[in-house]
Amino acid sequence: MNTRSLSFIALFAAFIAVLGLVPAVQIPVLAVPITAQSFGVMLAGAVLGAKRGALAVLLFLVLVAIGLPLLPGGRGGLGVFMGPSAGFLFSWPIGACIVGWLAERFWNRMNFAWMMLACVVGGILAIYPLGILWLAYATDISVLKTAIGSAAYLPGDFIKAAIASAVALMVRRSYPLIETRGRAIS
Amino acid sequence: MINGLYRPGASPIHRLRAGTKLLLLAITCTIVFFMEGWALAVVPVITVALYATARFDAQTLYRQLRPALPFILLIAMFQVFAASWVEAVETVLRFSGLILLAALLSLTTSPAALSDAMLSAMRPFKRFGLPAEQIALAMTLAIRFIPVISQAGEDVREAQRARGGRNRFFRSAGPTIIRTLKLADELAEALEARGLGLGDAEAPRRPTSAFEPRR
Repeated sequence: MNTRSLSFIALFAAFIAVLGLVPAVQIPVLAVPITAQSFGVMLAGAVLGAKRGALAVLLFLVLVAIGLPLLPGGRGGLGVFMGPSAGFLFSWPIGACIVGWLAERFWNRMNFAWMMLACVVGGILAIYPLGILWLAYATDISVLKTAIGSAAYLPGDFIKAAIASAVALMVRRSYPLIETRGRAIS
Repeated sequence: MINGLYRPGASPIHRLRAGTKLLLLAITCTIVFFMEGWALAVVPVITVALYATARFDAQTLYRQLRPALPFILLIAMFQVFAASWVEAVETVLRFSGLILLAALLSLTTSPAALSDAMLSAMRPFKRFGLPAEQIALAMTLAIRFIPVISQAGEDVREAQRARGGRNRFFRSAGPTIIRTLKLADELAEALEARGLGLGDAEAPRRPTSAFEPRR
């Protein structure tokens, strides 16, 4: 870890916080609003790589935990980690880590399809199972039924993954931060 | 000083040390999470009593619960049909209790005190690679970056409007990130130059609190 990495981690934690200010899309049937913050989680991994991406998301969650109202609607504090949907929150750092790990692997042959694959695998496939399992365990509703309920968020998350991929590619062209083995890009 | 959700006061709960409160919360929440049946009826009684001790009114209490309420009620409604009304009541009591107890800690403890408690709890683990000073520095930087990014995003959107583009949030995300990455880079250089970075083993003084001004 060097000062530069620390600064980038802080920047992306702050970026996820700023995304919480974007008005959430409220869909009447769903109890949980669709927010822009999971977009920031994918982007943190896709721009910073596995380790720094995961640490950025973790730092954001620490800031929420100490009582800063950084989640959409000014929510924050330890209370949000107690709710039935907290599993999605806990799986964010893991998701960012997987997005980043894949982005590092694909870095030298990167195009939109590879970036999208990284974002979908880490930002959706890794986050949903954990969130669903927590929800099912906490509420005693069967895993299948919670999975069906959570599927309502899939279209929004795919759109976010697509936008995150496009933005990450743009950043990669002008400010590449992931270093691949053997050849350092800086 | 950033207060977040904190509501200053002088009640016994306000005066408890942050670390003590965190420990008590962890123990209580674990118990509440695994409680079942009639025992759960005690949870709202204790919660209300604690809020009264901290001198918060019913409105403050309700405001802590409100964001999570639709979701909890939805699950409860589902359980009435899928399982039984007993389980539905259990779910409502359990989660409203957990959320309210945790919120009480955030209401009665300043973010500064909480982050200090967290960092000092971390200090013994330094030899296992948990760098408390680095985390404190990262927290300070992140809090400082929030208004900087907001402003940069606003600038980018204004420029895009001036060029006649449609004003969409996500179109501004890329340029905003690139702009602020440069700032973050310069900040890292400035920190290094002043001997406050991580590269300098003999840094004169690193912040021990995320909220204290650096001297």
